[in-house]
Amino acid sequence: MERILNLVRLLQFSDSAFPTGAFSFSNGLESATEHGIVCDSETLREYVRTMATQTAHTDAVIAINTYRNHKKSDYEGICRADKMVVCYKLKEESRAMSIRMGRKMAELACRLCSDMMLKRWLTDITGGQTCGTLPVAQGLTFAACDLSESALFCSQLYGTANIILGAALRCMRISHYDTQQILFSLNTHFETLYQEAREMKLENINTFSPEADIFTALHEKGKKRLFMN
Amino acid sequence: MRSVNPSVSERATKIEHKNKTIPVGGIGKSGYVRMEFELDNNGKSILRNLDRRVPLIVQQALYFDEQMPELPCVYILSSGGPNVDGDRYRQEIILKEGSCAHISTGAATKIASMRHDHSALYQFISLAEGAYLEYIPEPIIPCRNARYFSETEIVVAPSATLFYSEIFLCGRKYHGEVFAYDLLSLYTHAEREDGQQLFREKMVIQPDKDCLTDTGKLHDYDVFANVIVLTPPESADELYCQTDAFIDNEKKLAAGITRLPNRCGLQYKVLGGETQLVKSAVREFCSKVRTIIKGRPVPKEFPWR
Repeated sequence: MERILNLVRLLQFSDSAFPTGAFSFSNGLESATEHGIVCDSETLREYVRTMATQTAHTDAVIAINTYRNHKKSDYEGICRADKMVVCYKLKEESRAMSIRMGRKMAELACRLCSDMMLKRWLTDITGGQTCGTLPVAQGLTFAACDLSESALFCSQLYGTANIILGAALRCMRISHYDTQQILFSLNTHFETLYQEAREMKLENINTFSPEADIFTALHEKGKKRLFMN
Repeated sequence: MRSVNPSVSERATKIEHKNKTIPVGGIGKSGYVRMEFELDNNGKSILRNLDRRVPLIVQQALYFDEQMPELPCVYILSSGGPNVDGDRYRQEIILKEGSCAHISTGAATKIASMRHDHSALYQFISLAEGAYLEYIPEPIIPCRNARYFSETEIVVAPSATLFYSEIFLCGRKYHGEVFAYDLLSLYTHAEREDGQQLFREKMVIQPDKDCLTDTGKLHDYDVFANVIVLTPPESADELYCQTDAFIDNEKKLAAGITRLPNRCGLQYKVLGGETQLVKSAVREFCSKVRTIIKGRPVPKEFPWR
């Protein structure tokens, strides 16, 4: 059974108020709504499911790998994973988001908990030795706080879904009831996705969301924006 | 030159192989092509070395490009028809310093229906300093229950330019095959000669498992193209500025461009309802690349292509 302290920390790290800057991004939703492609509850649910699946097959695999490497004190493995994130994040905006949020999370985590590996990693980020991506920061933070691997996974997927749903409230006609219903129904898929992610090796990290890639490209090129790029 | 990795198929699948077809490695089951382009004594780009094994055939290099008459154009063909159960292909394309080439296939590549095994392609593409390659094969058509794995390893020098495209159809629509295949696994990665990794992309598509019609995946599109342009940063910046991202609901066509990591180039993705529109978008994009790199556009496509 999870300890109360662990559950509370899981809530803290997964809260949208946790200041990593997640609220400034929409994961392509802004363009999707502008072009009328995501326009109602059903299309939004599909989009969130697509993005959550991508997270499970990419960032979650890195985070779990980092978490395990922290337990084994394999710092080189952590830096390799960090480099790999930059290589597989082909969309410029996604890379920028991952690096920006990763650094913020590392800074915050170093203030919250005393962990040698986290401190070393932040020093290397500051010195330009490593990139400092979000999934690596999440893996390190959860390992340093002795939270479980499954908690780490839940936090990541919840975060992905919440970023998009939070953005949806600001850029399309949808109610809080709708977004909470979407989140509640999608949560039921997380267990299956976790079983896939925890078994996946780094070389099998994969993604397939071409329409979402085009939404992001439109956002990169566009002039109108509520959210960052 | 770096030694190439072992076949992707050795590690890419857990699909059980029961020996009910011609076994893997049998005659006609292991297609192989190696092409080496270089400049001759007069500074003309030529196909200097060619090696091949059935069922792959390479046509003689022809210089038919009206805009770029110095460009050797080569078609890869397969005498065996579609890729079938247990086929393994290996293609090695080497461009030495300053050389150029245009490579395509004679027709669309069908990945036939499979019962026991899978088909796999391993490609190695190497471009030395100042080399220029356009690799624009005809589309791939995965039929019902097709299983296809590909790995493309690219080694590119900083001053070289590679235009690499792939187009995938949903299946044979006429036969009612719309995403009826079992699996496509498409892995592309690029490095510098010193081993510095530039990018990696692995796409795994399993129509039975994935909700391909979901918003964000393929939605209501049937054809997708993936284009990689590896080129020096200043050319990439110019190309990025000249290329729009768009969604055209009337034509049912969408495209997006982004900058690849490590300032190594760009990626261009196109989605469409019809093959011809997607092919045209890819060719138009190639024309922009050629104009920036070589100062001349790509000529109009042959009417029979």
